[in-house]
Amino acid sequence: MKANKALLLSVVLSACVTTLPPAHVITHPERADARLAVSWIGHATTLIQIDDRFVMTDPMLVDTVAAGLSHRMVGVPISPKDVPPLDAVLISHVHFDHLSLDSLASIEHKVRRAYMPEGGLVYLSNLPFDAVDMRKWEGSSDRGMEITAVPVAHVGPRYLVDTWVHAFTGWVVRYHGITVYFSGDTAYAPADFRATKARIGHIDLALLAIAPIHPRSIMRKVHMDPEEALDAFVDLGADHMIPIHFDTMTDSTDAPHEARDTLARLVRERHLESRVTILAIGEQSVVIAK
Amino acid sequence: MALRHRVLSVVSAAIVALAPAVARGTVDEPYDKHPPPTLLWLLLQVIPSPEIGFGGASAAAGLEWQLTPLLYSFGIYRKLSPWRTFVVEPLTRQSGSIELFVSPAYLAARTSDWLVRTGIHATFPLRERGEKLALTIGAGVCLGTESSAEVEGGVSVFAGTFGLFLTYAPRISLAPATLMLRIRWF
Repeated sequence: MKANKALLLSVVLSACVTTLPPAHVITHPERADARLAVSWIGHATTLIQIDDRFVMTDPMLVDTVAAGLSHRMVGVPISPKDVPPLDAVLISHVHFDHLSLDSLASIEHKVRRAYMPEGGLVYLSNLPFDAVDMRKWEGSSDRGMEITAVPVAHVGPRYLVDTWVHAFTGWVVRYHGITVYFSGDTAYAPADFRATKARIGHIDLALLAIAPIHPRSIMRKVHMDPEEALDAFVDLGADHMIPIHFDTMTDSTDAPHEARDTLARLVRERHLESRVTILAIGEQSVVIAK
Repeated sequence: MALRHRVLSVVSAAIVALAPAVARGTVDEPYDKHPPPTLLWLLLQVIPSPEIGFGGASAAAGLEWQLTPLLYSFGIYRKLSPWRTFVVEPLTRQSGSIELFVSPAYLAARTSDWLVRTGIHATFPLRERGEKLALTIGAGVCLGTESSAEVEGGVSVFAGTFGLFLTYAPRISLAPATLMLRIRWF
């Protein structure tokens, strides 16, 4: 009960957050020197470049979501006008901080196709780009880029009452032999991660959510903490990991930078410094150079 | 328990009769299933919206409930069926829709009366595809001890959960005008 009250207070206070400007700003996201590059836009939003293709995950390109109830702590580091044409937008689930309709509207003419979890299209509204919804293990191919919905453990409703909605998924993108895994939000689900490894094979990069951590009694069922995210990284057998979903929104009782600092400590303890890259919002990493 | 099952059965039967069939084959065939009438949904429909009536001999207080026998959404993603009966996802309504409404209302001042308002609403999104702010206008009839044509309009926020609506039914002497704080989930 105490944990519930603390979480509720945290969520309520999130409406009062002042959004600070990002320390890094992205104006030219395309990297000529990269086969695989990732820019972290904040929260679960990443811009992935695989050779000549661009993919964005859970675009949140506005400072507030949930009808103004939830604010970013750090502003958006890229202007919609600087977002390159997107071959795919991957939506992991329909919670307000992952399916931001204003954000999608701001890049609507740059999106070739959006990929939604099964049952998610009803939450998209009639945006002009093409969109499909996919069930677990379903795959779709577009001009050589393969996108597969993979299982994760989360919850679906957007409006609390819509308990019949189970629209959540992880995604795998493969193009030119490079494979990227995007967890969206998920609890630690080793069976799902190992099944993904068995079906998908080699994964070059895993984008894994590492927060919110607390209150753990609640979050454990739906979110990984940094230690579990590293375990998931091992379960997936990925070469590299970039953590996401931390230090952007007030959605927990975590201390400032707790997830980031905990992950950094664990990475040192497990000697994973060469394989795990912790980005700041607006930073970019070349994972595989040309 | 028996009553609950009977009510759910009637609503379910109406939805099955009027809604499109579930379709799901390949990626090109979207999951298109009408939202079901769960017990939680049913309980939420029982919550009334408070209203005040004015323009009569004295101010009136009232409660109003809302039902949607049929809704056509022009804001829903184009691959999905635009039709809904009774159970309507907030975005399906708020992103742009036209609906047939039936609203029982109870108004009390020095006298009291049960009214049934029925007609057509149109909802238009103003901010965040209507989730943040939407405008609704409508017209219909108000049936009770007295009957009248009526017009109404209002705005709603938080995915349509809360709204402020003004209704004008000139021939209802108890309260020709009512201002309702609409509370509605689905």
